[in-house]
Amino acid sequence: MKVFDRVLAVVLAVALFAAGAVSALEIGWTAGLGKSGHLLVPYESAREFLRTHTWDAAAVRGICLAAAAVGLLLLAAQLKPRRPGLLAVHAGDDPAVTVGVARRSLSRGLAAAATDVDGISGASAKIGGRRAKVTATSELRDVDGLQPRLQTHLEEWIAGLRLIRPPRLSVHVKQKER
Amino acid sequence: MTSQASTLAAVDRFPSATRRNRATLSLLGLLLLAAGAAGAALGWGAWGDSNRRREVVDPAMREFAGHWWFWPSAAVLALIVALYAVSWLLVQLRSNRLDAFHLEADRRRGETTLDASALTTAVAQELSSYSGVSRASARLSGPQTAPTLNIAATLDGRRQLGAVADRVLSGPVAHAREALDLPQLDARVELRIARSRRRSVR
Repeated sequence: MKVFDRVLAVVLAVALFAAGAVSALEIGWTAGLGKSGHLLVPYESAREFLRTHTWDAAAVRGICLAAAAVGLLLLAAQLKPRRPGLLAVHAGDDPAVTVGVARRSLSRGLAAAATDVDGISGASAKIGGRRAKVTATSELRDVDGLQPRLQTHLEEWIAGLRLIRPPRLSVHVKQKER
Repeated sequence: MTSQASTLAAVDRFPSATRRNRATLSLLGLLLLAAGAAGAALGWGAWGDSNRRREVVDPAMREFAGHWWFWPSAAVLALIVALYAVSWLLVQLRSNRLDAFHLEADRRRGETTLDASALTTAVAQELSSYSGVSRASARLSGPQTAPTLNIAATLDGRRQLGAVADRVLSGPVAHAREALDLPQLDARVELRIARSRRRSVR
């Protein structure tokens, strides 16, 4: 989100600069120097549109609704609480030190750790707010005994991370489609 | 034992840009929402039929724009917007990285400066040499008076994450504190797990 905000900020800042500078120049050209017509941007058709269209015209309503929708999206995106990207790890009693592991990389690690268990051929993992969900696939015909083994292995793996609040683990094993 | 937070925000190298972006994008969103909603409400007759049928720029508005102060004020406002946009662009480049650290707190007693990259390179090299760490980087950020050592390390799976965290604290963090003569130097360690894992060969 931060990266998206930065890209959007650069695009909007350039657009705002251009709009502000061009508007000031156009005003100076017509109102200050008394010249007729535009200097840089042909705005006459836009001016004509605003002078000839009423507020209840479909085009004006549409533009207003689009502006409100974009504003709402922008505001909602900024006000939405952002989920911290790192899960904290126990790092002794030193309050000046914080250690964390990236949520995404933990998902990758969890998926890779699942394949350590014999019979598991692949896995994917997703770590949400407080839960870790692992879906593993097996090429074995009988996958009934795999789930508890995988659950135990992954719980041990998570315990080795020494997370301050380990996520609750939910493991699902399915047979690979042939 | 102190209570610790269970989650941490990812390290932000451009905190001033993040704050400014959030504030400005929220303000732009609010302005767009308010103007768009007011225009749409006007178009659907919320302020009466006569207003609904007025042109967007009607003769009364044109007359208002005829006041001597109107266009100079509009030009000044446009310039303020342009200048704000420039400062908004420039803040995107402002990182919180600390390039040099003054080892002597009292400038009257002379000045000894440590190039931050000398320290961070040493920290990264030490960390990369550890078994279980495939890649590491470090940077010093924040104000001179209270810098933070930010460390990022990618683990290859040969050592447990908790064990690597202990080594980071007893090794590079302790050595950096010694080098800067700051026993309370803040340290922030971000550990990542590599996509592909290595196995130890015995």
